[in-house]
Amino acid sequence: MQEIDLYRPSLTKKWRPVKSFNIKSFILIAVFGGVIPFIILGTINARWLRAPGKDISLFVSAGLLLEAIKWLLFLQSSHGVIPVDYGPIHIGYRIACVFLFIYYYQLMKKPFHFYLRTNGVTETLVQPGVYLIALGLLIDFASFVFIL
Amino acid sequence: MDVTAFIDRELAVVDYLFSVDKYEEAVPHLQNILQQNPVHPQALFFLALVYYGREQFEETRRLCVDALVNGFDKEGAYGVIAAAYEKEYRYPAAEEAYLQGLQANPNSAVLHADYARLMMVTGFWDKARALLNKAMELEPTNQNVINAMIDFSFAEMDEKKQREAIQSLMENGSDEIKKIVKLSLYHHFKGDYKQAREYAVQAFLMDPANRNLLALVEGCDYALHPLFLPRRLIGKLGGGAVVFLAIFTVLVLLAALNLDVILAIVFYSFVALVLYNWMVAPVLYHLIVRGKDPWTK
Repeated sequence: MQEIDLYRPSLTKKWRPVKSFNIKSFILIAVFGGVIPFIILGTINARWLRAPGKDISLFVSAGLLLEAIKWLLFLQSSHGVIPVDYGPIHIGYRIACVFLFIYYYQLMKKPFHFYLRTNGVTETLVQPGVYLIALGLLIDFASFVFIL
Repeated sequence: MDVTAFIDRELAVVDYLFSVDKYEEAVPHLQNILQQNPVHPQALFFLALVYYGREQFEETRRLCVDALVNGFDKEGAYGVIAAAYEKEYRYPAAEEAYLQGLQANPNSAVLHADYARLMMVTGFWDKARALLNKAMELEPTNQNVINAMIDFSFAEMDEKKQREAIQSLMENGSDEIKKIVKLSLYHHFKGDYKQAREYAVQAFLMDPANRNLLALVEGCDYALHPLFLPRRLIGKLGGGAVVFLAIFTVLVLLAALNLDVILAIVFYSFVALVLYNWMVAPVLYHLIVRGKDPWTK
């Protein structure tokens, strides 16, 4: 573990106040918005919480992998390579989003809990949540248009 | 009367008044001292604490600097300067004051613990942990250090450290009310509201004039009341978002299975639950319970 210099200032010019959304509500973004909005919001929040870079990378990689799998299945389905309709793929994708949320929650549980106990106030998610879910729906719509 | 004897007598009165939290009543005595000796470091520091209580932080810092210049203990003065900056959310300046204090007094457990608190609030949790460990090494029985350790262990969700810190508080804490309040908060954070309420009532009975303790009892009453049972259940299930999603999934499944009657029942029950939890229950609590509570009349 890296040695911490206790007597060197930490709050330098680069320092930004720690803050967070209520990460439990991210499940709504994940399910209704999909992976891309969830990755955007999750990464921003993880950076606010000063989560380790390794955890953020793992989360983003898992999300991108899930999105890639969805696209692959959509394309294969549209070309008739696999005998599965869009509907089941879409439902499976949403369920996978819930698992991605659980993974994210496990990664961020400790820093988020720490933040709540020491600062106590979370940022409101209503406005960014609505924008991001709209973005997710737009991506879904675009993907259908592209495939069809 | 001899000036030194007069100042000593006034300081003893101020000391007593501070020990019983009567800060404003100490002001005339402090002014008496400063009339005799305008640069009396202890009087300047006590006056700084009065200004701190009045939330006049600029004046607090000026008086602390005056006290420092005139030879007051650096641990105390820098600690208060830093705390005044913290109250104004000027965290980098607060850190600078802590570091100056630690440079002057590297073995101050209190400054280490207070600096650790600042690091907790600003998100440097590893550094906060290291500072607290250092404070524990220096003075494991100090009340401030134990309190900071308890807060840190709650934040870190470390059950073992929580038990150790509470044990240490019980053995070394000097203020009985603070001890009991800490125990109440400990159980409150763990979700054991019943036990938290018992401790809060004990603390309130020891100091019935303290409105903060009354607020603590009321907070427990609020959390414990049967009107809020659905809200507690939702909390145990993972929060509003998780329950909303679960209900949404059930609604989609029922729609897919064409179970229209059950779908309608579930949907309207869910709407009723939402309305009850966030609108009806708080209003009912306010109308029925608070109206009957003798403490709030």
